[in-house]
Amino acid sequence: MLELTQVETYYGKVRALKGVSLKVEERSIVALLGANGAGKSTALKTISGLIHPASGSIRFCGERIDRDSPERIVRRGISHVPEGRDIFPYLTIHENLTMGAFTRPKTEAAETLQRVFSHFPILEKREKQMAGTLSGGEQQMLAIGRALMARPRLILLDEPSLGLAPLLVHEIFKIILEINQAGTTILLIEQNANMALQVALYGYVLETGSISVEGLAPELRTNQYVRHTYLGVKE
Amino acid sequence: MLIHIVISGIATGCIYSLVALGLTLIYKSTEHVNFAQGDMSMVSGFIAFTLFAWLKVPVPLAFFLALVGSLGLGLVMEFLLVKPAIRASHFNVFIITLGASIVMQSASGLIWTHNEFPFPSLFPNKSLVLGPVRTDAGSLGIIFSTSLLMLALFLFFKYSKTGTSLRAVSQSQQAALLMGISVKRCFALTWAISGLVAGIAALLIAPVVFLSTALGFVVVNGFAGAILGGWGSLPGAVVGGVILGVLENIAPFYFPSEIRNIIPFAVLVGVLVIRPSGIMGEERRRRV
Repeated sequence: MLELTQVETYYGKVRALKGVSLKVEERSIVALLGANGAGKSTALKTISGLIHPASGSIRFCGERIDRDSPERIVRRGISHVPEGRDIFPYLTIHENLTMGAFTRPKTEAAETLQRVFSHFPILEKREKQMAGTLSGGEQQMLAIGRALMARPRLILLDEPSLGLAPLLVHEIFKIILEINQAGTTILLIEQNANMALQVALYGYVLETGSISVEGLAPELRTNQYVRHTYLGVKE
Repeated sequence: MLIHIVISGIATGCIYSLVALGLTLIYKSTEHVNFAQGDMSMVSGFIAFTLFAWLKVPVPLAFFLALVGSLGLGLVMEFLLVKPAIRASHFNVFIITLGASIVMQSASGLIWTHNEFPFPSLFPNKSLVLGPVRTDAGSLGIIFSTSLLMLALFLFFKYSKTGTSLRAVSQSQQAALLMGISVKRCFALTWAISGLVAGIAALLIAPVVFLSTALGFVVVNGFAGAILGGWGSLPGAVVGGVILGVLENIAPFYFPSEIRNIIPFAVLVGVLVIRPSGIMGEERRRRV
């Protein structure tokens, strides 16, 4: 469904991605792991069109999208939940969600809204509240809900568990699985490699801008190097 | 007598509110400070003037066309001056608009001279007696039209999808892009609305103070009003502008009349020293 081939991206003068190739199959969950500064967020921003790659190609459902504006990419069916959630703090929950459906016809918004509320009942209760007043976990739910409002075929999640209490992390991952089972493909960035490899089908490890290890999630979980470096297992 | 002064003060204040509103709209969505806001009014006024005085277009039609022109003027400003400077700092853009202001004043002087011209009012020139209150139709007309415009703007920003997307852009451009909102189009639209507000301000103020190339200086009062109300706050711009207008009208009643011109600056300094966030100022957001 999504295919990156030898993608190189510059972040200012820094070559943040040095020829990254990866594939996301339809209806799967793929995890992109790596330490801080490895280029994970840059990879997602390159896919969603916030940054354009210097070379290489990105294909979505067979079509090249690496020169498209973020606006076009959303319309193609890719939603990006950015790092740090980036909700609109002075819009209400409801307005945030409406903005998520900006590219969609008005007629379907009410139905999509109900679907989002079924994943996140808490958002329905707080519908009229300013988004900035929500707790971190609720803001993360809002950010995911807002992305779902565009009815994406592929959703890019940037560190959904960052800064959340362990119980909430489980909650969020449960919802990620639900969303995937409902038919949405997911590309997930995580520092919490353990959690990510439990839900993902396939995983890639990004190190200073290139893919160092890849494989099926169960394989990565037993891979010596990954265990040692990313799962914190000492042998 | 005092009530009459307050009412005409509110009317003057409404004009300042409109200028302050134009400034704040642009600032909130693009973080640019548009020093040419007053001159956009001035040019709109002269467009109307050219149409009815030189081309003999009926006044209502001339006014309508001038408003369309003012909207276009906002778009032109954005397209020619601000958009090309997309990588420039906010300070550079401020200087660009300052330059635009000087160019507009000089060019208007060349075309229309620096004389003062009478300008027809939308409202009858009558004094009204409402019970114990004596006032004039002009002031009430200005207050009424401004209130109507503000209500329309409020409804647009609060309830329409486009209005909400403009607010979204002012809060996070990145998130807005990821929603599929065209940030560029939103900037252009903001300038167009700001231009229209400038045009309406021109049609309301020109009958009171005469039309001249000096009309653009109203931007100073607009700034003072916006800062008094709380820089960056739309309701603040409205409240600040009105209070400034009332102060300006009342002060000469108690002090020598020259004080009028000092008021906006005194208010500016006073607010910045005592309470920089103004009356309804929002806490400055931190950008990561």
